[in-house]
Amino acid sequence: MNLWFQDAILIGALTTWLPFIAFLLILLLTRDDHRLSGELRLQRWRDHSPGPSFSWLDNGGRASRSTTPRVVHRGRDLYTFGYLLDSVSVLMLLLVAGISFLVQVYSLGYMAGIRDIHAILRFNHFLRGR
Amino acid sequence: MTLSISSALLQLYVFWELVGLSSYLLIGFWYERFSATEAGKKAFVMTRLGDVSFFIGILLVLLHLGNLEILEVNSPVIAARLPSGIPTLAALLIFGAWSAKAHSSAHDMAPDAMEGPTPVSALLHSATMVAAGVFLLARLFHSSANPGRR
Repeated sequence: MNLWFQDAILIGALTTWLPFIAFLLILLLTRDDHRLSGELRLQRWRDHSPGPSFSWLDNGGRASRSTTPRVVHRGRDLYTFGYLLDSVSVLMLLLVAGISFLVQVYSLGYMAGIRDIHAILRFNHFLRGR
Repeated sequence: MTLSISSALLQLYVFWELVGLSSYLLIGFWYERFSATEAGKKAFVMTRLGDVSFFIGILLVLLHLGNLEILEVNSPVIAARLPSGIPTLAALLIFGAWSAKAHSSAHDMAPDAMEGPTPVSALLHSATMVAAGVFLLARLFHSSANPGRR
């Protein structure tokens, strides 16, 4: 089984993991100030909201995709890593991102007195990323 | 996010499992409570049942089509290579989605799943998991609805 890594791996890796690296950095640097940490993560989320994804869809509403690394077995593609954006994907993105944003805003006030609010918000971010 | 933009079934499955892991960890978040640990175990067993069937469905697709790309699996030309007597594929995939509480009769675990912290529980069980189940059905609709159709 051979592996070929194409140039687009950089795009795939960045779009997938950069938000989480940002989350980790904010968590580490602001771990003593939970409110500041939550506000920064909200700001970071807003900057990476899925709005620009619309530009990846063509006028026909067909899927826009980019393949990244390929796993080739006996001369044919067995599996490729990448992303697939179509109307179903964007609908799902908007649904989850919108509700998670509302939940995040709501929970900052609702659970402000909870001892483990920091850990709960971490769950929230992890889940939203998945 | 990554689940919804996955381009291949295996990739989708990996992130599907991570959602299940998040669910289990969330429900058992307050593990000092007996009810929370019990609810976590219940959710774990139910989601694993669906995940196993989903995985078997993926293996069947790989076996018959030799490819896990969603676009190709959904292509009518490629999907026509699936044997016509393979309703089990659709059943397995639908059962996988069922585990995410997308269907009735799986809602039994939903009240127990509220043992987790309220905001994340609301996000996970009202938006993400249920939507993910429906998303999976929508994503694989063509291949699971018309196997072997020419």
